[in-house]
Amino acid sequence: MFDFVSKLLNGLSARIFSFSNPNSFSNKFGLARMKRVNMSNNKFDVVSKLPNELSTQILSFFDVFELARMERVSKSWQTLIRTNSTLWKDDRFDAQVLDPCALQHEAKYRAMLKRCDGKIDKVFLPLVLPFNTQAKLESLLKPLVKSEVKDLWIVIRIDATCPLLHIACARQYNENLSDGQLQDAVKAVLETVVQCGHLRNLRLVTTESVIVNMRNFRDPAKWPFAASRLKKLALHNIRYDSLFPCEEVYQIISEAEEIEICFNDIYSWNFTKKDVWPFINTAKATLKKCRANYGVDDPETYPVLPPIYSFPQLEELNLSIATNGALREPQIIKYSFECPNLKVFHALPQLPSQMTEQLLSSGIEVLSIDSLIYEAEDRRRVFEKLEKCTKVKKLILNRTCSDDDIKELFGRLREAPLEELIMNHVSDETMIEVKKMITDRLSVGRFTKIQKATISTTDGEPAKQIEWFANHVPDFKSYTFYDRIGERDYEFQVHGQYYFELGGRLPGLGCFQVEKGDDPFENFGNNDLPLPEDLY
Amino acid sequence: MVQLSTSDNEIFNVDRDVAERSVLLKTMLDDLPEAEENPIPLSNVSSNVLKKVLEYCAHHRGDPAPPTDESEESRKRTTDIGDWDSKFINVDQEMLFEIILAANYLDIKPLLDVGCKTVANMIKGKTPEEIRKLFNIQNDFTQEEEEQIKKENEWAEDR
Repeated sequence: MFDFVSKLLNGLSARIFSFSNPNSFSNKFGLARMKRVNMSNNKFDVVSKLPNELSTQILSFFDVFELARMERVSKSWQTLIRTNSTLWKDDRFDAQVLDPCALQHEAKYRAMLKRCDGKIDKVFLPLVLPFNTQAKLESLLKPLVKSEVKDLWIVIRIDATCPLLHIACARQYNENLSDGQLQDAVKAVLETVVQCGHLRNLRLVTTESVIVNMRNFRDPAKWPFAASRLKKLALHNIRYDSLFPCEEVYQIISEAEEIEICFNDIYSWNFTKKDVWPFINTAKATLKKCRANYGVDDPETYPVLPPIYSFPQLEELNLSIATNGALREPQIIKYSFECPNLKVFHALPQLPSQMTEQLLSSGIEVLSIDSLIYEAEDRRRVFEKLEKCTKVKKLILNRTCSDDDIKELFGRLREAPLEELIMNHVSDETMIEVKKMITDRLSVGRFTKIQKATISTTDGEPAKQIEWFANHVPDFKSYTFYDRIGERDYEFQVHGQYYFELGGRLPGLGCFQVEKGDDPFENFGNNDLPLPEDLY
Repeated sequence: MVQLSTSDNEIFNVDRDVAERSVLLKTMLDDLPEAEENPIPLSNVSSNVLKKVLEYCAHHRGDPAPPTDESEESRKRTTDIGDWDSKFINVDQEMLFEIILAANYLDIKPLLDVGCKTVANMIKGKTPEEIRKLFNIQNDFTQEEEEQIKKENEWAEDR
């Protein structure tokens, strides 16, 4: 009897054990049962069975490319993904690695606008000519009007196979591109923009310069930007017949906080006098950031200006104006500039001494210096002002800065908490000077070490010093004049320009055919490829 | 000590700081002092799930409160999960599902985040067919329908 009970108990416990440990369960019917339980209980559609807000949270970890692929899983996944506009709202592109060459952006753009029913904040739209016909362009642009896009970035490129075409090369490669096509494309873009009152940030880039005839816009009230309350406006290589000719336009974008106007093919235009300084005419009290990179034929060309310019909010001024000579003739002396809150100051070539003096506010944190060739008295006053710049953290020295200038500059900036140095095309002597400065500052002991430096060298000489820098500056980079990636990074760091916006500003840049997806810089140095000069 | 009662009527005795990892319980305990006297009924959570959730709360009892203004961007970009957390969440799909629901109900953001990231990590890098296999999903598209979606989303395929 006892034996029987104990056998029964053993049997029971064995059975119980088996159930809790399916691997040891040997009965084949039992095993089959366990398997079925496994299928129905342990593997199931976790994502679509969760409440909508939670599945959205899971799906928000994926980018639009992954989401598009996941639509194929099942009908419920497709509905879940497609009908959820929040997933498509955020473009999440990383501007620094943007490849405007990639045709997929266009398809992505179409899909996104469709999926989220125009409820999208940011759009990056690269348009490629001559493959996009005018009708196709217009169909691409039309949805923008009814959308809620605030941040629009359009890049109009010619030829999809060549991401960085020099203007001259572009002509060679693009016999298919009719003369008016680029103008028409820009016009279509501008006409769309007029209707987009929701825009706050507009960045228009063409890789070849375009002149848009203002007369094409019949009603002056409908000139580009008229409908917009733009906070940021950037135009690259696009200008009206005479840059920004209309007071009306200036008034319209007068609430802007950031203005950026850049041209690649400098030297070639006749500016009317007041257009040389577009930021001045445009800027109102709201302006925080201004960047102008372009050229003037005649350095004597000065704008007609009111006597005092006050930009109380201006924090960043980046003027890079190529001329046939320095902007030295002090017609501008009559005017005075008040920018008490300037933090970033960059001017190339040197500005008239009065202007430099006025702009050097004591709050400057990023300082970029060109040559300082002034009359002795003017020079003295500029340096006195520099001495008061006790907050400079980042110093950029341009190629025209003389060794004397640099030596004196470091002396005057002895109180500044320098952290970063960028030097463009420096000689061996200059590097010795800079090296001395770094050692001196360290020996005084109350300064933080220079943490970061980027140095570009013109010839082999400075290589002697590079090792020293590499050992003394934690984050040190150097490159030679011929290193295009270095140049590209430099332009981005100093001027904030993306590589596809540079075009002719870096001669020889990107004049080769590349396959889609290739790094256009990889092939550089292959002498068989035509340089732009050969093509002129 | 706080008493929690589950959907299957099990009572858990929990330290207050552990229970307060749950924003729901914290608000309850702050607002209703008498809540400390009586077991708090959690009718949406079963005992085996609550046990798991409390294990998480106990491990993280000393953690600083998560920043409320944590930037959406930084949260979205990473699917990294800490060592302890990833061992903790290494459970079957059923349990994972229940933990996510419980974390959402009890308002335990970091745990909800771990749960959602885990599901995202399971999906990441998989083809639609692999995802179907993973979750035992029936492909309810006809061949034509699937071709059609494929065509529409061609832009996403070759990257």
